[in-house]
Amino acid sequence: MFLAVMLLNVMAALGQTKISGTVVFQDDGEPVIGASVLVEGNKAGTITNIDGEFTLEVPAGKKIQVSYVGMETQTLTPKPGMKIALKNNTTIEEVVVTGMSKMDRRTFTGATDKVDAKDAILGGVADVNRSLEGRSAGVSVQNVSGTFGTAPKIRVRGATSIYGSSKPLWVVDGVIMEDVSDISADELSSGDAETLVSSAIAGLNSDDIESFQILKDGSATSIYGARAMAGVIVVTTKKGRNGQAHLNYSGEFTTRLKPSYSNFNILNSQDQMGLYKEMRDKGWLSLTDVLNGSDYGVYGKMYELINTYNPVTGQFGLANTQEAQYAYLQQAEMRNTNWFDQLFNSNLVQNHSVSLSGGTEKSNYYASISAMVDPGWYKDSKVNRYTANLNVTHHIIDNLSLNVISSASYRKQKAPGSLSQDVNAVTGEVKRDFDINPYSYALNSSRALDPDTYYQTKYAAFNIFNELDNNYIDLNVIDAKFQAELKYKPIRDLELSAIGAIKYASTSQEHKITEFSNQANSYRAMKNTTVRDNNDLLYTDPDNAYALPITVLPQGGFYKRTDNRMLSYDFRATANYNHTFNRIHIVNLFGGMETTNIERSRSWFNGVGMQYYASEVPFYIYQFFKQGQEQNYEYYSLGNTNSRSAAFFANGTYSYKGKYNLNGTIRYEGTNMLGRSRSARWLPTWNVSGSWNMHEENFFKPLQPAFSHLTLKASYSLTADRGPASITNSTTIFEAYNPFRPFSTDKESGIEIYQSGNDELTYEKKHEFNFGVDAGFLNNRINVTFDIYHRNNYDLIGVVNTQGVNRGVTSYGNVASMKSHGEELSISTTNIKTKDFSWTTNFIYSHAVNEVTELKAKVNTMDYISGNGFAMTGYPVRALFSIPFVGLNEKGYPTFINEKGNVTVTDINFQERENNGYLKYEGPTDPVYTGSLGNIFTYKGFRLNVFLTYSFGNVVRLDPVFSYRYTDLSSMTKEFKNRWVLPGDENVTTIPVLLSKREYDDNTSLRYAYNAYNYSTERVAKGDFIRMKEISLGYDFPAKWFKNMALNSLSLKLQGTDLFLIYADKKLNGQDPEFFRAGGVSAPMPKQFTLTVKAGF
Amino acid sequence: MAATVGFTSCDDYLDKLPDNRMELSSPSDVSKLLVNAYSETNPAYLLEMYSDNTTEYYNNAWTAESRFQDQAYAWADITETGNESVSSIWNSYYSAIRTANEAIAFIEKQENKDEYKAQLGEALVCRAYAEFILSTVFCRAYNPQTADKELGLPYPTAPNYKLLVEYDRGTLAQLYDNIDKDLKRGLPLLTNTYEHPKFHFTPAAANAFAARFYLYYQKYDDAIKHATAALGSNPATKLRDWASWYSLSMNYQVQPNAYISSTNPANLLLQVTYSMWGIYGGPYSAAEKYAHGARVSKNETLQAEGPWGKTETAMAGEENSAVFYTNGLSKYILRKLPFLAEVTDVSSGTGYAHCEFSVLNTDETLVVRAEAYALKGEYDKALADINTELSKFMPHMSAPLTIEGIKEFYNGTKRPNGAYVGGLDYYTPEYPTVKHELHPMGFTLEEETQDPMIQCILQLRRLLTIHEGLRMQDVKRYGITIYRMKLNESDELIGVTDKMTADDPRSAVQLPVEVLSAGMQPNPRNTNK
Repeated sequence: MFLAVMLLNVMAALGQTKISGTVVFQDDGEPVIGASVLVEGNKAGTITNIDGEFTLEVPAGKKIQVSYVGMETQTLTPKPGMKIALKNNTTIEEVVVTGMSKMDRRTFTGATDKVDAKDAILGGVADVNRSLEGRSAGVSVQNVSGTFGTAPKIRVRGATSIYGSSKPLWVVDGVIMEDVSDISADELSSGDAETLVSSAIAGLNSDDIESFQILKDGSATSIYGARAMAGVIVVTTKKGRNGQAHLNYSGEFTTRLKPSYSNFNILNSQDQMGLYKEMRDKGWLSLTDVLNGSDYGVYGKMYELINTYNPVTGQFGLANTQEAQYAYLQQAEMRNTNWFDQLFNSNLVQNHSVSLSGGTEKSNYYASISAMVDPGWYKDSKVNRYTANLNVTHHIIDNLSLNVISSASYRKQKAPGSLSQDVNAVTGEVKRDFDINPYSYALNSSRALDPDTYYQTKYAAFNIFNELDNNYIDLNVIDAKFQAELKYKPIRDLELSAIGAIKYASTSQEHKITEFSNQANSYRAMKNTTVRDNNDLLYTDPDNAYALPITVLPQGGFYKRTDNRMLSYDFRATANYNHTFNRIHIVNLFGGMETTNIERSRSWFNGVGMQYYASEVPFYIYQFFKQGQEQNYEYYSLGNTNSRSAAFFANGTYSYKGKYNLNGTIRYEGTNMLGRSRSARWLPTWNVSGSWNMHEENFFKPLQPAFSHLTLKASYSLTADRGPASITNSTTIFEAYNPFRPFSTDKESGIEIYQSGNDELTYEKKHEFNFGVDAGFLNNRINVTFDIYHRNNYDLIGVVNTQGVNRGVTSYGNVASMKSHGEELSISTTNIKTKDFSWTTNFIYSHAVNEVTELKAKVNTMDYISGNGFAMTGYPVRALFSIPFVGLNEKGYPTFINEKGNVTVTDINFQERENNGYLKYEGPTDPVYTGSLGNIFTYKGFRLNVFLTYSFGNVVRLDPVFSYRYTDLSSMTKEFKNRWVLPGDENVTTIPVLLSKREYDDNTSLRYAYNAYNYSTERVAKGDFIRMKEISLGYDFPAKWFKNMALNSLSLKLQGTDLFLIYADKKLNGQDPEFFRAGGVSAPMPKQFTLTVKAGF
Repeated sequence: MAATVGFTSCDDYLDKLPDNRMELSSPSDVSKLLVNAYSETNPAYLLEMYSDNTTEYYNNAWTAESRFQDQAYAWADITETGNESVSSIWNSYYSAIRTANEAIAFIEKQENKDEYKAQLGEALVCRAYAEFILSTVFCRAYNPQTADKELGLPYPTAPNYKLLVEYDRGTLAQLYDNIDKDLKRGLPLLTNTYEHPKFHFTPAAANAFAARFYLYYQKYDDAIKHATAALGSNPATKLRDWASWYSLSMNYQVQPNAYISSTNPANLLLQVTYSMWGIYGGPYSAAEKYAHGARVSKNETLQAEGPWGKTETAMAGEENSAVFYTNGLSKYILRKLPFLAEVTDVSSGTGYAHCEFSVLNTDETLVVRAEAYALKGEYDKALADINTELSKFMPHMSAPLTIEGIKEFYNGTKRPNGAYVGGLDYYTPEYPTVKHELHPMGFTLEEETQDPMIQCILQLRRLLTIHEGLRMQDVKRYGITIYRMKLNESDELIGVTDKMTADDPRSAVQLPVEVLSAGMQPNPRNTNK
């Protein structure tokens, strides 16, 4: 036999040989019909017949090339009777994972990006969604808070809705991930405790992720149609592969830098005391005012000591002499407390994960387990997270396989006790009572305070360390997902698939306010009659005309518990038919149906009188509940929601020789979220698209390899979304309610019209046109992807004035519209590539602008000038406006132009809804230009990664630090040094005067002026930045070292994350342009160093 | 075929309600729905600012609460939003109408309509009442000669689920006719079976409303009939015990809480509203620029002379005071209006401000009857009702009034030559009195007896309903000229800035700007203003 082969070869070498063979698919042995068989370097060739057979004359010494769409091309030495098995083309670049199916990239017509987890994942950042920053053109990630579990603000091609969330859809292994608690984009930056459970994928261990596929345009996302208006992010987790079994260990050790005063312009204690002295001189810090006031610091403490007689020593806490006071104040002056140092630490965060994977022809598996232990960057921010993941595929028979995935995670987290923030629309103050967020505290608290002393807040003694020990939130989160997918190929070209998934998430937030906390003690504060009459936390019985205020919390504290639970069922059945006719016509048909059912439950409970240090026995008095009845205050609540949808979809792709591709999708979706109206709930969505692979054309061949490939794409689509969760009134919504009645005997329950029916209610919709170019140069050393798109969003939920007869005067309906457009560019180059050294560069740029074209917003001035801003016709969806500041007047008061066009100090109406045209437009709060620049250098086993991200074009509001009055607790910024002091200063400074008490008492509306100043044109900065996101140096130890060892591979990586801003607006003075300093549970992304150890066995 | 089955079963699957919203299913559900068929806003604050109960003080320390107060006092088109803005009033009363209409629409679909009689009655009366209150704000007073030309208000009788609907305002005649129809249909169906009857239309409350409505409609027999039905044969037993109320502490919420007590038999219908009026109209240093101040109190209202003598003395006696006022406060107050806090978050102290009003009560109904009698010329019956009321309201009055006494007080003594001696001059801004020149809408008053009787009744009603917004209706109904006056801290008149005469179209408050921008026909305004 061997000899015969030898002979044949000799013969072949002599001239043309006629050979024949069969081409089959490797995975099932079925014949490949229409595979192309060419003689290498020659246009002569043939295609396989219906049995996969071919016959071809091959010149001596030439090889043959066998290719088929979706399969790896093989080049082989011809042999008679050869059997060629083609492998699925699994090269990462060649397949687009839509979450429902895998598409051949060459015939895929949509705009998409694939991000490999191994390139993107940031070591030491446990939230995987944060890793997408700067990784894909058109995807912007704003870390509005860096606290674990809070979702960053992610936008794919910008906002798509005005009141809706514009959040992209997350799909993990084919299953849509839902948030356990539906939080709007603006709420993400609120700092409220609810944001801790805002990330649907906080339970994913980054080590388990294989890749992200970002679907951007309507063509790519159209299979999700009525869910996909804001883009889709498809996450694929790791699977086992055939062959040897592996055990991998990965360990991350992270240390975070404490924030430093050198980065902020906070006054030191000496300067601060100087300002307090001026405040005292101006009448603010008089003994009786301070001692009877709700909050006090250094001065209040001094007065308190002067007034405290110690019967044991027979002395007062502090002698009432000038000298003693002077000494006391001087001590404070020298204190320079470093709150960051006191409240933050650089403890080691550890994240360990172990994975096992392997497989045979029949089945493969991937299993992993991980533990993240974060002792907390600041007090009360400890997080532990444990995850487990199992992914097994088994081929029951050749054409029938079952894939089972189950994953679970548990998280235990601590957060500072926090209440929700609210805005006083009259004065324009954004406030959060009892805010003890350490980051905010460090920035807001005077450096003259002694960290070991108790000062006063809300009439009760306060010390931040005591408070953080006695007022905190314990968060417990369980996430689990179980899914199974059955795939069956009854015939070669047809694949049937059924997938079912159950997800369960349960979170409990236990806000523990112990009896030793300031927050509990302030409910009992009545040290004298003035305090008793002023403390609004006390209760006066209205039934007794002469009742005195009493406490409703004589003992204990509060146990406030919020539970969120979500259970969702997903089922999808699909069929995929893929066939090539005559080697020319490639047809792919995909269709199916899916249903989802999401049950969410939320409960809240306010346990009063919990005695944490007395056997956890509650003690309460009936007056608490009586007060609740009278003030219409509920002590517990329950909310169940059920979201269901059903959809039918079909997608067809036709490709002529892989050159010209045409694609169409239609999806018909129904949801119960718009209410029980059968006409409103159904919506068809669609897309048509095409692409031209120019490099497949003959005329392109001469240009290669200088021009390696070139593809042009275009698509037009309609996709949609359901709009904000609060607008679901296709039929009238009746809800039970308890009307307010001042006396408990008059209470009755009723049913109200929550929203009058709107039978024209429909989905929010988007038309999108996308044009894209993929090009490769110099043998693909340079790859360029460019997309340009134009979007028209219409039927958006907006506000409209009605006549107010059949529905409210201001009603929500599908009345708004917006448009957006943008360009996205990705360039990746291999600059140098030698045997040992390589240098690659990735540059990503995106530009996205939007404009609201129709909206009658009915929000007040405050909404336009604070936070994220708001939408106005002709401006971006989140546009920030300012009150026009026109300088200080001769008294040092700020002056503004108001809506009447007058220059004014106090005549600013923060509640104005009609005439907001006078506000100055500052810019969008969402960045316009985002992207990154990454350079990777490798030398042998070393790998140096320098990764910059950038963001330009947005504005941010500076922290509101100015006020008509300050207390002796306030910390002030260095700007105060330049404040107006004497007449004439108004010519050289724009920092207003420190008001005297007399000035304020004469004109209390001056407080409007100081709040207006916080939201004026003076107090805005550019949000532009270039950030050193990551510098890392890795080393892979050479494989040869591990010969004959259990260890197969070992690598180390040292990484610095978020180390510094290369560029930012100077006006920010240390304020992170991405971060919203909202207090509560929010914190910025820390600067950190991570050591990653990976070992394979 | 398979697809059809698929969609139908999907529709069933998708019929699951998305949240805990309710669906009506029983008479008790409809009753609960009707809890919300009462507006949660009251126009009192607006109408007090609009009426002659309020003057402007020129003093730096006394500032306006908001532009709303400025605009309301200036009879301007009100653009400000807030609890008590015109758009809130519009919204809230039409919301009550929508609720009633949802209830009626639901009842009409039921097969066992008989079980829903009481609910249907309440819904109809609620709808009529809400339209009636809106008409007192946004329409001019009813004048039988011009009502078919004056603008009315949309009167929807069924829900409409389109987003944007344009309504025709119709005429004031149509509006009054519609209210009349709903009342006639709804009132007989009402029962007394409410758990909290003071917050619902009982037959007594509905009769009190009907009495006022028919008085305004100038159908005096109907007004008398309904007032009598509300008051019973011995009204005195149902009136407020003012004497003990005057004796309560004026501090805190003691008097206001007693005034709105649901156990007080005088209160026929109570209304809890979103309102800061308890603060702005109460003994707090807020909103002091426009106030019911000393000049009005002493010359025209609480401390003025009446046929009963000095009012405050007649109320509380020589030794005691009935009126709350204090140094540094511009306001003179009868402490009826509570400030009530609903707390949505105890820890942060946030919530809603409320006020509660006695919107229908026996005292006012009795005065309605007195006026109807007086307008019919039955002066003795009118006098009897006035005296019954005064016996309670002014327990310290020395002796009951007589017709002669009333005539004497307002007009003086008539000489044989027809001239009068004594009596009061007509009111002018410079020399304010309690006697106004009356220009009734569509009728005339007999000068000798009827006019002073009506003067007396108007003065009494102004006192009884002070701070509650009803004065403005009498101003409109009787075409009283009112003025915008600027006073200094010492209550001296600095200037008269504007006046509203009987034919001034501004007596109908302009519709909310939002409603106008959605295409509703505005109230006319004199262009030269």
